Amino acid sequence: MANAPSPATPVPAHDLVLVGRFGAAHGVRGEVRLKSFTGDPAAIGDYSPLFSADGARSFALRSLRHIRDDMFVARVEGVNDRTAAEALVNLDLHVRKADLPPADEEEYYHSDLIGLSAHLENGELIGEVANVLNFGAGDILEVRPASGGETLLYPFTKAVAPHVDLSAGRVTIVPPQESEVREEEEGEDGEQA
Amino acid sequence: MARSIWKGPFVDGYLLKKADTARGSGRSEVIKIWSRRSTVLPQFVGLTFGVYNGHKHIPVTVTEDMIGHKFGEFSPTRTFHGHAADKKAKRG
Repeated sequence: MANAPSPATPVPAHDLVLVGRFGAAHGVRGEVRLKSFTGDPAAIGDYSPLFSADGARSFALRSLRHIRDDMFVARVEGVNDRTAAEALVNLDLHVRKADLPPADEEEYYHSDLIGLSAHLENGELIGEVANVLNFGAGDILEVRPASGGETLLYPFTKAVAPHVDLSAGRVTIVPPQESEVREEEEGEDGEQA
Repeated sequence: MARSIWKGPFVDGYLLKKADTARGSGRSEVIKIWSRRSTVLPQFVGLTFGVYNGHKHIPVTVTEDMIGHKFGEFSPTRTFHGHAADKKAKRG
């Protein structure tokens, strides 16, 4: 297996964040396809070294060529022929959390928020943050209730999530009041000039 | 064919009334709506709607950039599980 300098001691898995995945071997010179999961797909080239899921192997990208969307062709340090490239197929690539640049004020990495326990202001446990979503209208915390059932969605705003304590692993949620308005209640369609 | 300009943007009338009431009350609340077809209007900015996607109500906090789009655009109906990677969330 040809790869870049491997760490003397494996990096603990809980310190790693998944950022990409190797795809098929590309050509005969050791190039391999790489799918990037980062916010800016090209940013995966800025993270080096990249680690395997168990943290035992590390890889340095020598070059990165964009194909389309989030797909690249990568040249990996120490991988010089197709056989070596084929050994990388479907390998997940991670970076150390410590290698990510510090987040700005009021910004949080999704990987830091996922897994936090969500509590009400009175301390009552709601559940665990299962995912952070964004469909173009603000970030949303998806909370898996401790009691089971459907996940709950809360807008990630100061009003709804006033306290985020990463060191304590908890986020305080103030559930917003809900009201609903349906067509049947109020009648006809309307148009606005 | 695009909608005629003389008609103005389409919005369900009951949404306008509800938005007026919500803005007047000054409380932070999520207004659950089923009207994915309604256009986001300037008077909705700052309000949070829960837009139904056939399964649940997705919180949509309206900003100026969203004016002119339809509510349904911000509440996808199909499940997509991405990866957290280096993505960041900003608390609004």
